[in-house]
Amino acid sequence: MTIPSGRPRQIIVVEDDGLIAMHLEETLESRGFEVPELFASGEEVIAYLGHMPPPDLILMDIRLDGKMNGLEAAQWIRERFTLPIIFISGNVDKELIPPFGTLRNSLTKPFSREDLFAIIDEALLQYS
Amino acid sequence: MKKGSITGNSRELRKKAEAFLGRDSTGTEDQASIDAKTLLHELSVHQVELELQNQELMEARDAAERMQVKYFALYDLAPIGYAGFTIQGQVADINLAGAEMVGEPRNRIVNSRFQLFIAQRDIPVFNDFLLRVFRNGIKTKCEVQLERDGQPLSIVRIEGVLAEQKPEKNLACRAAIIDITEQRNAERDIIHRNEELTALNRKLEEAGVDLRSKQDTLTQSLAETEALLDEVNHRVKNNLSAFISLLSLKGSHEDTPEGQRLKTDLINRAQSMALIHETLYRTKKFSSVDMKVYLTTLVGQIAMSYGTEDSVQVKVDAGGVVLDIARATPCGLIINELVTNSFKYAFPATFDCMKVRGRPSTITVSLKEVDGICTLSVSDNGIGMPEEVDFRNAKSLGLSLVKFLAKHQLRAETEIHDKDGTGFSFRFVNPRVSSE
Repeated sequence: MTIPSGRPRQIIVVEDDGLIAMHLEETLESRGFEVPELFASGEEVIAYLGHMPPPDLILMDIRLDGKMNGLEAAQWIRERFTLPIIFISGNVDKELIPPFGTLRNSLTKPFSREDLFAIIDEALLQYS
Repeated sequence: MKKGSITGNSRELRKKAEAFLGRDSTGTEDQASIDAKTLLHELSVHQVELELQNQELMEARDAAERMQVKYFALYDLAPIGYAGFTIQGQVADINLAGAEMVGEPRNRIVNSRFQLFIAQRDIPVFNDFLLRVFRNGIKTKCEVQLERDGQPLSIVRIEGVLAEQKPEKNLACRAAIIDITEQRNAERDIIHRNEELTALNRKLEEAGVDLRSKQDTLTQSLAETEALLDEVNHRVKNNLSAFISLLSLKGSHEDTPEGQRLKTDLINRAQSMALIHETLYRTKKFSSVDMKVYLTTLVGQIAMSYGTEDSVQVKVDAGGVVLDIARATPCGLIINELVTNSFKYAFPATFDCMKVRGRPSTITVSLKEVDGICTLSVSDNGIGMPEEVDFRNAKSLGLSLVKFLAKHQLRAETEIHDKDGTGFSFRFVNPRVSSE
């Protein structure tokens, strides 16, 4: 997906399972999104955002490598940036996700390409 | 000196007196003179006798005084109390140590009843003691609490015997009074501490019972969890096995050489994941994978799938390394891709390994751990990677997987070498795997 200026939308993936992260990267790139980085921990994405411009959207797993979980990392990001964060989680984790306005902000694994693109489009539209 | 003794010694005294005067009483003077002289002599002798008698009396007095001092030292200054009691408990005498225990001047104690200084509850004990002394006449003892104005003083042990009092010649109880307050306090302290220890011991026993109960619950819970994990590993392995069977079904892939290769690659990838759970199930572990068991089976299965067991030697060395599932799975997938590549491309028919390398075709997989740092090496002594293949910018799924898993899953430093074949090594941290 591209915005009118032609710059591809950037999506960062924070997911500790390498195969799922790789699959997400491939899926997002097939739709025209740019995936500048994949991270497995909250600490890594926070360090990245400390010196790089924020992406248009973040896909965030709840259970991550490192000491932070996805919810803690998302809270840190929301306190500093205005951008949509979509949680990707297992069934058990979903109960933990706090609602964020009227925005649909979580996907339960396993999800289809269509579900993924729908929720991303919805979020990008609301934040555009 | 006794009076009788003086009379009995009168002759002796006379001899001494006459010797002192230097005269014999048997002279021959005229009668009047003799009588006067005799009288004078007698008087002089008597005077000397009296003087000698006085001297002896003074000596006796001195001896009596010395005895009195000794008596004072022995009786009054004795470190324990001494006293004499009548059968009613009246104090005939008491020494200083005894008076000090009673806490009254001696003159107020003597002739008083000793029961006045004993705690009310112990008076029958003391009365019974006196009764036994006077009735049985043998050494008897009792213990009583002394008190003054209702305030407790010392606890004493009284040991008494029946003795004749002189000069009155009446019978009295001669008693020693020994202060045993410290001893009794120490005993009470020991009893008190013993009671405290008993109470503490009871609490500990109760806590022990509670702990054992909780331990039983935990053990039961752990057993249930282990059984569940065991079941999960078994089911995951079975599901992956079913998926592998599905891939093997006729019609599940295109019946072309390319389709066959794709099928083999997919099956091997699924197999490498299923084997993790198979290994856990087989080694009765729940999350720590014995890499020697896992890799030996994995590499053997890959070799079999390519039917090159005889032409290519495969060596696996991973003794003693144990990884958690999060690291064992990417290791297995990486090894699967690299070993598969070696089988596919390292030893083409045109490559005579014996001739070029001087050794038979060999694929080596090694996993070693030193101080928590693991080094995974996969190498072959084949023809080497084609120049157009660049691992850093790999396009093929296999090498992309290796690169991605090494970087994002293992967080490994990757090294590639192309001397005498192709070799990859990955260095990564192995966090402590909890013992199961």
